[in-house]
Amino acid sequence: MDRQSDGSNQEKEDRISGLPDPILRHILSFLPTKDAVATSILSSRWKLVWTSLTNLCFDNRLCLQHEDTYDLINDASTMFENFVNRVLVLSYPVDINKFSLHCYKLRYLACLHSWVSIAIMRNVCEIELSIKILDSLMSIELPESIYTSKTLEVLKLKGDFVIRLPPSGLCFPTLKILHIEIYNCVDNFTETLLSNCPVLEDLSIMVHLYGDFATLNISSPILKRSTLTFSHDDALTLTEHHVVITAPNLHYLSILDWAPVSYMPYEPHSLTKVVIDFSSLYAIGPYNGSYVCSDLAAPYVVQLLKGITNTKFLSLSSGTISVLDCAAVDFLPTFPNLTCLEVPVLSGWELLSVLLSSAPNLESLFLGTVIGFNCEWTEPQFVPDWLLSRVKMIKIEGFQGEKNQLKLIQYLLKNGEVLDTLVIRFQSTFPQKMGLKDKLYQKLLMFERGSKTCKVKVL
Amino acid sequence: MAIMYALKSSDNEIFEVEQKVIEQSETIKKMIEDGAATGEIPLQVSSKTLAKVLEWCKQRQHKTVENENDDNKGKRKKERDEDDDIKEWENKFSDELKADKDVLFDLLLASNYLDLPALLSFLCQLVADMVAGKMPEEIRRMFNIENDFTPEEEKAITAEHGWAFQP
Repeated sequence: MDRQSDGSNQEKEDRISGLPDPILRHILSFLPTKDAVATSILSSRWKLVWTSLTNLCFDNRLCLQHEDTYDLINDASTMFENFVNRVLVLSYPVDINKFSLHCYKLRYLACLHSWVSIAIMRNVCEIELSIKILDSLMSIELPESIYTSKTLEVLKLKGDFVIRLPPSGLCFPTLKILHIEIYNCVDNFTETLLSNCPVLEDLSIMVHLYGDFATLNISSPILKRSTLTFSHDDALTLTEHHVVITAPNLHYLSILDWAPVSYMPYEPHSLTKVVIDFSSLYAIGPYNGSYVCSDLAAPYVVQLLKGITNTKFLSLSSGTISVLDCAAVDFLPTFPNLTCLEVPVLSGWELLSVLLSSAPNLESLFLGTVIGFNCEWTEPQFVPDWLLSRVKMIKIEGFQGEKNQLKLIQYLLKNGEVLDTLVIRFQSTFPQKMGLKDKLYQKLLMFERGSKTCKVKVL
Repeated sequence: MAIMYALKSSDNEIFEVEQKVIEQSETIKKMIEDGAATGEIPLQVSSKTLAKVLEWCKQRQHKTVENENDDNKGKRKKERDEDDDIKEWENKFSDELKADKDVLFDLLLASNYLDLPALLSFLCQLVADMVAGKMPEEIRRMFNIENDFTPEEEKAITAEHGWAFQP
């Protein structure tokens, strides 16, 4: 079965080429198709291994990055197009599981159409396209066969794609996951989409607010996950938009927002995880010094929070917190089921106190540290109730051993009387210098603990 | 009391293992179900490799047991917490294998033979990461692959898949 080689042998022996084909194919399946095909030159053993790959992933972004003259772009593009064509022809005529194409400066839509059509003919389950057309603002149409594919379960599109929904009848009969970007949103687009896709469970939409829509209806009895992103360069001049969510089976909702959009979630009974990121347009935030007033956005956030009070997990971005903070929001709805809250570290405790007093059953608190964190932390006058008697687990991300961070940790450990775990994760860029982490860890272990059973973990 | 099984390595070493740990291997599970596993279960795997396999299985087992015992309330938090621990452990495991490629390949073959899909995927990903972004010459050197192509053959392959060999 295995060969115990002695030391002298180890230098010479080619073990990898001796592996059976299925294992080699498995290894290649984790590589970009470019790298997988390149193994054909290693030796004759490797020449044809790649041809039975079922995941085909092409990406020309890196190669075209620096080509700026027309001739160079044309040469590189021709090479890339030939490559994709040849791989599709030479690969073993088995079903394709995943077809992924990241193409920057695509010259011919006909190429895209033929590649996608081949993938569909070969019963593809997952298609991922990220396309920018060379010198054109034209929208991208998809080949018709994609709408009737009986194997396609996942479709992720980045770029200005047009989804041509059939006026009547079903489309995407097996599609479960759909991620799209929309540049020209029309009023009843999502309604038609959701009512035409019979098994769609996961819908992610990025709306660039250039179109003239007033209301977006997310209404589906089977939808489980949804991510909505709204972006606009100049949100302050826009008129208000509405999003109505009626999805009784929705478990996960994530909202990323740079535009004035009001959300009305109706009876989302199944909601367990919500991520809200109202971003910097409203609130450049107190951290950057400059202020853009967020009074405008705060009512939207509060309204959204009122609609999702069932959730068990809630994550709020620093932008969202700034919006609430700047508008001096001092009242929030109660979240009876919330057990886990994720927020960035706050300079003050006022808003965190408001948030936490709205969550009577909170057990875990995840504190993400804002990058470049150096804001003063001052000890509050009274130890908050949540720390004394409720929160059992606290996790701090992005630890740098900074003075204010240490002060905060010392405070949490001293007063967290029911705390059973404190997890501290170093910032990924923290220097791996010998001993520095250990020293900080030792220091943390010396801090007085309010709870005798509290464990401190440093990662 | 947990049911124990005795595994016998190809070099006749005996490993006492809990049924739950070893049942992750479809091959062994089948042997047990077929009743072929009375007494010692003989395996075509060396003791050194088998020890590594069991190290992996125990780590995975640890994870599943704790999740089963969780009540729903604390589950999320525990999962996240555990993910960190498992990542740490996996990183250490990978580093050891990268340092000793013979163990890595023995383990690959063993995970295939014992039908441990999670371990097999993990190892294949590890090898793929080692290969990714490297020039053919570097890959050959890393794994002692002998280039048996003539210069003409090599030229033909480069011409055929030109773009694959672009930096």
